[in-house]
Amino acid sequence: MAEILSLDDVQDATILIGKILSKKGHTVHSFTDEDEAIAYARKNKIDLAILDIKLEKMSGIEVLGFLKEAQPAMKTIMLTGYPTVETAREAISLGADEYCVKPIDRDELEEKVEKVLKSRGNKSAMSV
Amino acid sequence: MDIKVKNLARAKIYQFLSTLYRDEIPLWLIKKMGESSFLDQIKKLQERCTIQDFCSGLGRMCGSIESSSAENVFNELRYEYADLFLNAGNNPAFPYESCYSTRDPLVMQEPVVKIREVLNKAGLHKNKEYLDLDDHIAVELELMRYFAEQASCNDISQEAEFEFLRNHLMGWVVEFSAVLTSATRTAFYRGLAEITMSFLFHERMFSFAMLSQQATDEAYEFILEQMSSAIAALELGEEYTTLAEGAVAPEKAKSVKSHCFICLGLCGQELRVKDNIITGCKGLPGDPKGAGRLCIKGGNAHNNTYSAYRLKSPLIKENGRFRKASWEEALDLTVKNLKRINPSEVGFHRGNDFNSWCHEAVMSAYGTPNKVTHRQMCDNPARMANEKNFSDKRPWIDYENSEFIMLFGMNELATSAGQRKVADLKKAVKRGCKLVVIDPRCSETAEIASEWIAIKPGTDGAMAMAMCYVLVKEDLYDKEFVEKWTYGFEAFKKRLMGEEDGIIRSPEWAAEICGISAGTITRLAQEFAIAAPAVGTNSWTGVSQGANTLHATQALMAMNGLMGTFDAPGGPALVRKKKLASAWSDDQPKPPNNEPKTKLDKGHLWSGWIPGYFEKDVDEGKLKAMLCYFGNPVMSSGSEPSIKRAIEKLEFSCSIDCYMSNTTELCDVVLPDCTYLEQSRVVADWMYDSFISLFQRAIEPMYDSKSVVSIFQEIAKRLGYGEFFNWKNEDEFLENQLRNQPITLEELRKVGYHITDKQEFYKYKEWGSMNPPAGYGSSGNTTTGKYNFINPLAEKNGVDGLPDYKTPWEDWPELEPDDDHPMVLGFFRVLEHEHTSTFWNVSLMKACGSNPVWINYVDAKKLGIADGDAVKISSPWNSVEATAKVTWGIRQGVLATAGGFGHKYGLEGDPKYPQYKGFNTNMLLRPNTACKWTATPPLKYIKTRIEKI
Repeated sequence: MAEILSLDDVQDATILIGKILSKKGHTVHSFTDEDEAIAYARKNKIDLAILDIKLEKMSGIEVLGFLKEAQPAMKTIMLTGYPTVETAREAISLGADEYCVKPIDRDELEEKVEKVLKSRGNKSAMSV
Repeated sequence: MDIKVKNLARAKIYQFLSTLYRDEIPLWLIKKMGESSFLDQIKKLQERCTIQDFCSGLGRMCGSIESSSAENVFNELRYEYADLFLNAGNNPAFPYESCYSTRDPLVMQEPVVKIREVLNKAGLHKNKEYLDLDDHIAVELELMRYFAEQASCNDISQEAEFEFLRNHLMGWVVEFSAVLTSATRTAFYRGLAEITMSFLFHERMFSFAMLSQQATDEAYEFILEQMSSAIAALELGEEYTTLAEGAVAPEKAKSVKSHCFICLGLCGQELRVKDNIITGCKGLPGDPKGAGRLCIKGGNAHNNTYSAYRLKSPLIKENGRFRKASWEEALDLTVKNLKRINPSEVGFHRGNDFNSWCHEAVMSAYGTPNKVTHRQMCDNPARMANEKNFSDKRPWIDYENSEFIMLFGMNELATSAGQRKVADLKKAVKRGCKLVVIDPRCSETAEIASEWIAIKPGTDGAMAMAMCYVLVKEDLYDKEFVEKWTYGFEAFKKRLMGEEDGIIRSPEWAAEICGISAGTITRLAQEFAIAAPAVGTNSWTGVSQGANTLHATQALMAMNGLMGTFDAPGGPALVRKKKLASAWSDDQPKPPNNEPKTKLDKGHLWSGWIPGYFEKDVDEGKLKAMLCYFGNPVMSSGSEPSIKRAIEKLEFSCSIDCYMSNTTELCDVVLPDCTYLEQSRVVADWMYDSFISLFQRAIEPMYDSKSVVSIFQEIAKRLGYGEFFNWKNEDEFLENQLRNQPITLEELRKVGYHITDKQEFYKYKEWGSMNPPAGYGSSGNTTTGKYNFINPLAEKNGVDGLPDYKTPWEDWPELEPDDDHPMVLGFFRVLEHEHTSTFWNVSLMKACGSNPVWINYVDAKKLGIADGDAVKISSPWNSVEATAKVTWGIRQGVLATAGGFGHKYGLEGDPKYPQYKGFNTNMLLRPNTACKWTATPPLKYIKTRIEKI
């Protein structure tokens, strides 16, 4: 089972993700603050990060950059209500593996988490 | 809005998007989009729409349409379409779901299987008339249109539709839109990407609303209403283009017995094919070439076929950019130019020999005498030596029985040419056979050798001459063989003993030249003699691609001649191939040969078109056009900048290829070839055993590509020779070629190969000649029937035909290293790549995606270069940048790097994959330079200096 970091400025969303994925046997570390999430990732092994793109202090893309710096092998799912092509380009270039559309759909989240965790390596890096 | 109306509106938008992606944007549609009936509604929508990306996308797209005349917009978008979606550009936006499931540029992956399942369940299949792939975005969008229309008409559950949206389009549209936005130069396609992503995300929200029976977003409903109304004004019609009705059950899985054509090894290959998709490759058990093994290239051969960088359609260059063309238009234009230009001023350059009997015959009928293969830039010195001195270009050593193997500049473990041979060499070393590798670089083969002799580049001839001297001087040679089976020994002996010029080719003499001690040379010669006849020495491009190496090859091969090792167990084996019959049946008319007996360029031994002199020949008005098949002369045939200029100066050029390359990008017409897995041929081959091998088509040609025989049949027809190239299908010419063999095509299909003659030793004793008997072929012929120490062709031409060492700069003084350029640079082959032809294959690029330059530790220390440093390598003619690999595994004064790199297209050229990048050593070559004996450019002897950047 995986160590999952979840970051969303809306606490209800992190609670929901935690509930869904804990039931699947994963350990979910939920954060609403960007700095705390980054600090945690610098000290602890994370298999997967689920990041909202819209956060308060910085964007999810920036957080993704910091997390990948700390843990290059970590996989990532970006959560978004609606990404723009620009945020998509940045996230892909930083190595985000998947997108999930808000509101969170339980089946979709479970499937994507399973798919990302099962994949042998990260998706190829692509600079766009 | 009523739900039925909503679904109809959704279907309209899907149809609109599918239409814009499935092909070039047609002129009529651009005109329609420029009319007020469409634009006014779009503007009205933009005024009130609150969905930002959708509006901004519409703004860009319509702004683009209004920016110029419909014709101008049409042309601009045609060029852009070719760059983005037909791989004419170096930064394509792959429109396939497969490419985003792993972000690797590979098509026909798992998503295709899944989509076929969805289509099948929906009672549909991809329209065969639509030549693109099942997971093309236009197909997926059109399927959504179908679902939406069905929901509108039949009031059915939309669960399957929304599941498809979630599992397919939503899984890759973000990445595709990001890639398209980043790659496009036009506002139109950028706008289209924004609209697509925005629409699909709102579709996802719509699906949430529908499944939870909630109200849909008002802003989205407004878009549906307004967009569908605007789209109606475009009159897109009712018909479907990418989809057709009727479920099609998947084809059963099968195994196709074939042979690999990634390199010249031609190992047996078994392809797993499921529903016309190749899912993997493995070795063909029992096949004499591979013995059931494949190298990494063969194991990933299908990823050449499935590279997302494949050319898909004929292309014609206009205003410096490519656009899509029909086969008719592209072939007509090509042949019009061939007819206009004198055939004697046209060059036919081909990089491989797939069904070469066909295209050679077409070009002979056309009447060009200027036909070349990659031969000159490969190992022509070895061929010119061996094919005249005995009967084959490369006498592979029977490693299984060898006691002592000496390889000059030959990295058997990486060059392969048959995995059975490689396995035999490894086994021989393991059982105690002595392997000596003479190479300035510690290659993979040198690593497993008993001795690595780090010779100075270009001096193999001196070392080999000294070893021959020891064999003769110490009376170690096989007198009986020399007397009975060789020609020219006495003259050779005089050369060795210095009786002609006073220079004794002794180990002491050689040591000064090649940097190997006289003691080592003497000892190795003595060991070679003691172990004879189970010994062999051989070379390949490592020696040949130096400079002035014909005589060097003769010298090292003369060691085999002196010891009588030819066809001995453990020695270099003589080739015999059971000849195939003609592809023309007895009652089919044979094409005329209209080639004049003229030679474009003349050398001491080799005459004909010499691609190393390409620019000079063009400047002198001797060449005006080129037809190139599966070749990349720009990167491989000499100085890259010079050959590029040569092609640019031609009146006309056409390339037949699977991918855009540094050569095809310069051509006026590009015709899409299919890979070897999409076409068939039969070959008479040899690897110790003589056998017939079948290259069996595993899948149908992809996209709008054609087999090389089909392409040349079309060219022949237009040239007026169609009646001579009139086979109905592949089976007809294959059956003709097999009519003299003890196996039918049908039987051969089941097994893939057929051994006609098992391995035998000392065949020449039975034949009474070193040439194989009637009915058998090899690549050479000895006019004396014996092994010749004197090259008979040189003797005939009145030039020096004896083995010897000649300095690399004897004919080109500028090549001699000096204080400004003291280091000698060359390239080496890596197992992961085949010349320049595998750099579109992501599996191989992941295994070897860059080419750092090897530099000796001592040299690096002196120059202040550390491992991984960026360096500049300069020759008198050019400079390149590279990354240094500091190692003890290369001789001081020598630089080396993997060959084949430096592509402007494919993974190296694609900015999406910046991790794959290398350089081509040919950038540094002297222009218009080739060996005066054999026409081979001095590819592995480039004087340079290196400095840290």
